[in-house]
Amino acid sequence: MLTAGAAQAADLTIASQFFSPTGPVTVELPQGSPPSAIVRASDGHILGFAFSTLDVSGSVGYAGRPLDIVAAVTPEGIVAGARIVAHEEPILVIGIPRDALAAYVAAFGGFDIRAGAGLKPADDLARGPHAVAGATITSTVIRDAIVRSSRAVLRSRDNAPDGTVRLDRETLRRSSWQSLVAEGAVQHRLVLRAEASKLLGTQDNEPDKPFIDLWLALATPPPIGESLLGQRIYESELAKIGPDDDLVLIGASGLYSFKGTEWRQSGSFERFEIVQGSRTIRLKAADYTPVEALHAAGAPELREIAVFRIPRSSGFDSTKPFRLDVDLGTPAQAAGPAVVTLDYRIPDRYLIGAAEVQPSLDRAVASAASTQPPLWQEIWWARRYEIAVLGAMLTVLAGILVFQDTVTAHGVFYFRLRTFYMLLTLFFLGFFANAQLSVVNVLTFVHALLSGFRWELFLLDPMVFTLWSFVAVSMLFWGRGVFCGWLCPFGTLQELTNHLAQRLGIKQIEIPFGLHERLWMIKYVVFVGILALSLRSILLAFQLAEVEPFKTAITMKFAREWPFVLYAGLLVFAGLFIERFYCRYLCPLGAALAIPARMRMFEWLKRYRECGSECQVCARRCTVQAIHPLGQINPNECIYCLKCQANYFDHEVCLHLKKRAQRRQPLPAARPANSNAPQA
Amino acid sequence: MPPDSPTRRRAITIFAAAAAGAMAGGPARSARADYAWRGVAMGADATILFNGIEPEAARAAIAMVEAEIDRLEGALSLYRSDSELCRLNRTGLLLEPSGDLRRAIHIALNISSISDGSFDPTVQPLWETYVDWFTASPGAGLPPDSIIAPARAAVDWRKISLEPDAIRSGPDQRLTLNGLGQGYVTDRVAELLATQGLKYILVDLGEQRALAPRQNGEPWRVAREGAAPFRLTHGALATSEGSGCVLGAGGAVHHLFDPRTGRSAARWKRVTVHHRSAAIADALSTALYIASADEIRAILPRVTGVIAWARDHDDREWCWSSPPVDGVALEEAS
Repeated sequence: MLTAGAAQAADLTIASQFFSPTGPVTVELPQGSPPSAIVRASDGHILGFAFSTLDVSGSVGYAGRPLDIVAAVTPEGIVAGARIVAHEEPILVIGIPRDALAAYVAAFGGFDIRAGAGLKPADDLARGPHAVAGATITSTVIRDAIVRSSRAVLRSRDNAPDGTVRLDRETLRRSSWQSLVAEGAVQHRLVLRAEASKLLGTQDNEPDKPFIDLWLALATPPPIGESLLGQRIYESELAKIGPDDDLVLIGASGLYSFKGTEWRQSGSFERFEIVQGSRTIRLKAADYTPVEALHAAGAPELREIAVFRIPRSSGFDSTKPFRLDVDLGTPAQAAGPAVVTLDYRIPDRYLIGAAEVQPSLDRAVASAASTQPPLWQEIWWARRYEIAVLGAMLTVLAGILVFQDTVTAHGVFYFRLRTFYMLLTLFFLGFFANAQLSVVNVLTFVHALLSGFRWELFLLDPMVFTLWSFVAVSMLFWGRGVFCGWLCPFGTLQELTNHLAQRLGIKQIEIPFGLHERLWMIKYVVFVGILALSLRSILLAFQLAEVEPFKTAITMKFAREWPFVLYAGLLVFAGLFIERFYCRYLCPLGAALAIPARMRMFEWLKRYRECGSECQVCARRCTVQAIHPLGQINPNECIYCLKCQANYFDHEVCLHLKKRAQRRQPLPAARPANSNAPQA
Repeated sequence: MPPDSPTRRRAITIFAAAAAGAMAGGPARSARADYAWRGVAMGADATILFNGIEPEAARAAIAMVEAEIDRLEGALSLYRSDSELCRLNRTGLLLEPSGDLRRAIHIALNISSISDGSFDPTVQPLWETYVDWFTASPGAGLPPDSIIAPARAAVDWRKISLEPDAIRSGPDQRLTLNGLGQGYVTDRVAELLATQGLKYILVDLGEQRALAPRQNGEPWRVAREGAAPFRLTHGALATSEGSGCVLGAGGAVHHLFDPRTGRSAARWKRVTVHHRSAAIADALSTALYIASADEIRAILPRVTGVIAWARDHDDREWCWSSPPVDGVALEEAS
């Protein structure tokens, strides 16, 4: 489809600007694996190493398209500067002005990549950029690209002798407890009271019960540490250690406490030691963090969990086997050393041998992407609370739709519920979570289908992914209106402001149905135009997709250049007089949804036979005038707000119900009503 | 005590038949075979016999054992000036002791208590006094009481205090763990090998400890001079023998001092103790060597699972036990 614009090697000479304040610098030709260029000062000493993230780590953006950043890192591990040189990112194009992105990338200058592994923008409060409003996915990817590439370059330039094995401190992955145990990343030893009493020379009347059930893990690699400790504790622990130091997690349940209480006075733990080769490493209270519970899915509840920070200066080498010696306590009488040991060896997958330097310069996006760990899992985890709220919202909405008769039969309840739901959609989905679906998603999806579909791309934004999943199903059941009426933040913004306007007495403009019907066509034309253009140039298509005011109004909350603000403002203004003006005539997303929604399966909206012939109340009250003067509801235009259904059940509103009531009035007693309400 | 001479335990020879082939230095085979490792631990000869093991497994195990011995010597050995024990002896205070030193001293103090002071880890000043005396005047007689008395005054295990994060000794006190250090290392090494899943092993670092009988179910045979060999299937054997290390002309003094008199004990020719733990067997054999038969009868019931054999100077065999005794037997005379 699109040729990767960054396929040529990026020009690394721009890296000289990162160092410019210190005088003239030269950037040598890139060399080594991964390739990087030495940046020298005029006196010849090495200022740092320049590299392209695409060359080093094959960085790709949200849409799977190449993302190239030229950056430089000093030998001390400080990012000297970074500049984005190529980026074709749909999310980026719609989400954020270019200069804001440039500023975000530039702000990585001074960032200490040695501060710790696995830090993510949202939680890195110590230094550097925190996030980019509205383009969080891409910013995560950008950060990942810069930090990971810097580390790889620095490592290759370190004077470490060839053939050394080092710990993989960068790869991100989330693992379950079971898989960590299965691969040996977590080691276990159960000491029964029978064994302990034998070692201690004591008697035990419950020999089959656990004396101590020990668990041990090297928590330094992110897949182990972050999975076990959770992101917050893991990252705060990482922040406390140096680049070569380690974290060891010890957990236990059972009768015996491995920590004991003596350490509170003495400042060091006497019941256990880390032993490696001929080295005994005692653990100090100062290097200890208690942990409430293990984070990994499926982990057992333990009585005590502790993380210990072990400095490299202690001689501890996490790439080599080590063991935990736990003293079982004071023997009751003459007994030998009462110690149990638990061996540990970090599984090979967490080690990087110098022999297996990744084949770099392979710029094929697919292979580069395959070397990337599943970033999406990290993102889902980080946004789990938002996902949970969205899940609850969607469950409620599904309930409303399935029990729509019951809901709309209680008019006041329905109106309150709907207003509340719209507020939630606008403020939570829209302003807080930025989960505004857009026609750009449709384009990305279509292009992914054309150029090789990869789930990972869509999984990267959990909110959008979840919403689209729901919209797809609801579209199949009830049509496109479920999204438009309930889940579109800009739609609810228009509807809520219009309600406010009506309350303030602003007179609504009624568009003659003949004109109204013809204006509908605009949005289909806009959508087909955007789709067609995207086949030619996706960038142009994204620019045309600015017809949507979503980014301006919702993602960026009107903090944008004035033409965009003016446009979005005008649309909202128009919406004060013509309810959901934008939805009715302009929205390409609505058009995109309406086309496949013709396949919908259920027609649940109820009508009386008389509807349209003698009464136009529903049609006039309809949010988007989707009800034909002749009475039938046009499902292509309907936003499924269910207002007409509330009217249908409302004896105060529905002319048909009123007449029937009048007919019945002269009759003395209530008679079983002849239910002549046909299904619509 | 000085480094034991390599001949110290010459009286005791292992002749586990299974190990003989490997000890003869046959070429390495890739199949399961028997291996012997010879080295030095705590200043004495050390042997580990592996019965029926893959060569890679044996090599890996030995690498681990060597590191472990090195590590434990760093805590317990008197022959390393930088060991924790030496640091404690220099200043009378050791902060942040390792768990191993703490445990070893704890066991030593336990045995001192059980043996009413027959065993005492603080006898090191006595040894130093004798060594100085014989170094200054080789061929002289025994040092007079006036020389011995100051050293004896410093001997008192009760003055050692094990605090949460420190070990303290009394004024002029110096500790030796040679009475149980080898046993302690034997225990740790044996249990370390057991956690590696190895079973058919005899660890002999001065004391012999078996994790299990040999692969064919036969016990390990531990020989001794002038008596039937021991058949060892589990646990540890430790032997104390005055003639193991002598000082002065004519062997008038040996390393097993009676803490109460300051003189070398002379009641027994040799005492061998079996216990599950080599450290306990080691310390008890020292304690019983010094004790009288009546004292031994009083001491033994305070420990469970002990059997002790003693040979007096009239070559009579004595035997006491405190059940349950498991893992050792005397070979039937054929």
